[in-house]
Amino acid sequence: MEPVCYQETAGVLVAGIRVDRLTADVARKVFDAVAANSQSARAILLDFDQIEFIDSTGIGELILFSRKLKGRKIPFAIAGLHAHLMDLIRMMQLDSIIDFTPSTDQGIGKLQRQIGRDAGQ
Amino acid sequence: MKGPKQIMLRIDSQLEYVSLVGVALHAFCRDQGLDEMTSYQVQTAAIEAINNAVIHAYSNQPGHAVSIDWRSQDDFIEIGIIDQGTPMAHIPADIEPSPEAESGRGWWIMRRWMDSAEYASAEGQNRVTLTKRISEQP
Repeated sequence: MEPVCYQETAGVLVAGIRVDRLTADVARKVFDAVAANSQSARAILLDFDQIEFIDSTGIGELILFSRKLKGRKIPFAIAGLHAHLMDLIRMMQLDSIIDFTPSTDQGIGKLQRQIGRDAGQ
Repeated sequence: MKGPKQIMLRIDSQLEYVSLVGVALHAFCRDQGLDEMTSYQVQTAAIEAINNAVIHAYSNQPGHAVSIDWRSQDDFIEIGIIDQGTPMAHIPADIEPSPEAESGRGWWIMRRWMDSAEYASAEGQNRVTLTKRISEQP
């Protein structure tokens, strides 16, 4: 099974991560796959709903991915993170540099508004 | 709490095995009566130590042993992660990593979520010892 599935909704590429963990053995493959399939995306939402576990290597890969998108000025957010993982994210203060939203619908709405603002500038 | 237990696991130095050990450690915690969040924290801390053994002590090379020694008593659990690879030159300082940092979080997580995280190297063997006191779970 592919580690990521994709769906585009009104300009937002939703990348559903289809592995249950973002750990040292799989994290780079996952983010490389998203990067390779999002070259023309205007905004990217990562759906983390199926992820049960993240280690520090997975976090490092996430930060690297986020930095690349910022360099390309691509709006980016993460949806569906489980509560226990959100504790880890808050402890690391990653919520200060990456947008997290409870649901994909909210994330899509937020990114669509951002696309609209960017287009108006 | 349940009575004292000791369980030993051994894996080859490959990252794909680390998550399996993590699942087992989580199950051991739950079996000892720890709540979901505490079990997750112990699992995460142990995985960080095992990752370090595979990635740093063994330079990501398979064919070497990483042993995990789980011990529980009435009021604490202790997990030893043992390798025979290259010892650490020094233990990372206890400094909160920048949110932008790509690495350097493993020991910080171990220290935050365990009551102690210690490292010792002697006679060709390196050991990280993680301990967690157990309070009465609701």
